[in-house]
Amino acid sequence: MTITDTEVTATPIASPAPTRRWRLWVAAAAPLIAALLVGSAAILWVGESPLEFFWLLVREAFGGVKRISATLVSSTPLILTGTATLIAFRAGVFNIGVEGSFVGGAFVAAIAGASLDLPGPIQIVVVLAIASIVGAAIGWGPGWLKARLDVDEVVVTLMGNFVVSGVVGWLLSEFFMAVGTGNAQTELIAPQTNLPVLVASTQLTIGILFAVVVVALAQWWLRSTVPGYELRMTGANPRFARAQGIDTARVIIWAMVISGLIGGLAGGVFTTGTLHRFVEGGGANLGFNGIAIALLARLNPIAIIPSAVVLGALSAAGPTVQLFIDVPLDIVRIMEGTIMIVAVLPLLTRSR
Amino acid sequence: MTLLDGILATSVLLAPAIVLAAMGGVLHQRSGIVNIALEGLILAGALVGLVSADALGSPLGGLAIAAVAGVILGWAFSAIVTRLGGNMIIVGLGFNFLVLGAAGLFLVQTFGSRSSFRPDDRLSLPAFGLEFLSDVPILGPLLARNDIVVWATIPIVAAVAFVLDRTTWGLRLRAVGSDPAASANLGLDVHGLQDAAGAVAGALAALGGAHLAIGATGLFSTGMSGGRGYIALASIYFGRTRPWATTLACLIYVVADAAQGRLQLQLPWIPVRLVQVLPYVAVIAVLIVAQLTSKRRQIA
Repeated sequence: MTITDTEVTATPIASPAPTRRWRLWVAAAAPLIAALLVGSAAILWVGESPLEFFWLLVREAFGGVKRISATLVSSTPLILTGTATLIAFRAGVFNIGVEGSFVGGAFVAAIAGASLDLPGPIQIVVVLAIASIVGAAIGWGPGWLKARLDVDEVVVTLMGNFVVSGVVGWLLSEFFMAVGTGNAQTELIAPQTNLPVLVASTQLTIGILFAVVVVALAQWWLRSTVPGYELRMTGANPRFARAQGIDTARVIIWAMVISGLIGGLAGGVFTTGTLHRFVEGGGANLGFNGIAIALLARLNPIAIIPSAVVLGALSAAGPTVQLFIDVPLDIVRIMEGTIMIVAVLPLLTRSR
Repeated sequence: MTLLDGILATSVLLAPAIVLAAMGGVLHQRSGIVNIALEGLILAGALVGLVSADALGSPLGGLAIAAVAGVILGWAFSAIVTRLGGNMIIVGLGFNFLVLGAAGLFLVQTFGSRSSFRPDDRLSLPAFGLEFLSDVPILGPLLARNDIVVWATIPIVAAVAFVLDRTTWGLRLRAVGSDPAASANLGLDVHGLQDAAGAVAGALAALGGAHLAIGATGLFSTGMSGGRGYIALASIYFGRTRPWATTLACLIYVVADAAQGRLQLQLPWIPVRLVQVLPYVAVIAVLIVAQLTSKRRQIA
């Protein structure tokens, strides 16, 4: 196994690389299979047929251009939050705070989008840049604390999520509430801030292209650049990385900044592409779901896309399927929980 | 009833859920496992407790069954981490997702309602106290009449402190937490001790959740744990895993939370959302200060 082999995901989070290819496939498929089994058990429990449920789900998610578009719309923020989580995890940093970066980015994108009035594409670029910067700042704090003071990043990011949502909630209710609505939401963003629609008469915007580009960049950056190599080394074996002369503290800070940046971008894309305003609780858990997606992808950037599409399909088809079976949201949660638990079990991948 | 009395009465009613979960978390954390699953365990306890109390027609029976369910779930969470080697943070978050989904599914399936379940008969826990104090300010709402779980919470905190500091089991638990490898070499059953602590943590958190549903609110909804598990976790860090200090942190939060709910009407200028953020900011601040002081000690 060479150092440049990106299938090696030996962070403390991921399991050691299996020695044989079939083991890799088993390990990759196990969380999804377990999720399908547990999900099926849950569906059986409510007296429905799992086969019928999943078939309905597949049809609703992929049957026709409109439905595929809807699935990709749900997948877009998930691809981004999954990639954001992946960057931190690959550096061996447990960033639970992508949720905070996402909420912060989504909120400032809505504020900037409603108050700025720049011509066309410039407006979009500026708004997304502001969202990304805010997300990056939210990632930087815990990263700096971990790298410089060795403060546990799990607790800081977990608690930080509550801080971000509280501060955002306060700003929203005090200063930015839309006039004349009872809901906790901002005004609509200026029309030129809305991401251009990709497929006519659907909600699919160029946001999905941003997401794919970010994945491609992450793949290239991790695999083929020196900072990407340093990041992987820091995650795989920090002591060895230091012995090689890598400034691991700097790497950790940068990993958190980039992770937060992508998380903030995800929030910005969600605001400009999907909701066109900030609604409190509107993107609930999209940041957390990034953890499940990064793990399902086994911390491999390219695999983020299919993983996000699987979970995106579940949530996009959910509302329609809900008309027939009154449970999909809960089934999705159960399957996500199963994926997270099974994906971190080293049993299947331990090489003997 | 004065404003202060009202705040104290609310606090007393809502304290057990957080304090009990935090005590479970303290035990588990001393054994080396950060219990992110407290949130899900509270929710599971609330659901199992209320449903079985309603089915049995016995609130105490509901508490007991919730505690048993908590033992099973808490042990399972711990065993997945210790025996199967799952990452404790991810497994904990996944566990919370699972419980949330299962609770929602159960609500829809059993009662046909997504939002909440409220039993037809009002269940109430046995309550008693120093009733002659009922007209005394401050002492009245604290001592005059509380339900059995509120009273039990005090000895439970004392018991956790005693067990950790004064018993062989507590010593072993702390040994396992501070150096699992050395403890294993000394012949301690590392996973067994950790999972036992996890089972106790599950029982306490579930008991707290059951009290929240049966004793405090009389209903179950999927949002009812409301971050209490994370507040308990925050309090554990704030109290540096010491039982009494952790309890104090929990109580400060509970009183502040009850106060902001009531003061909102009198003092509408208080930025409620910012006040709610304070416990989380405080935890981050405590962690930073702890690291700074330990660094200084290392240098000196």
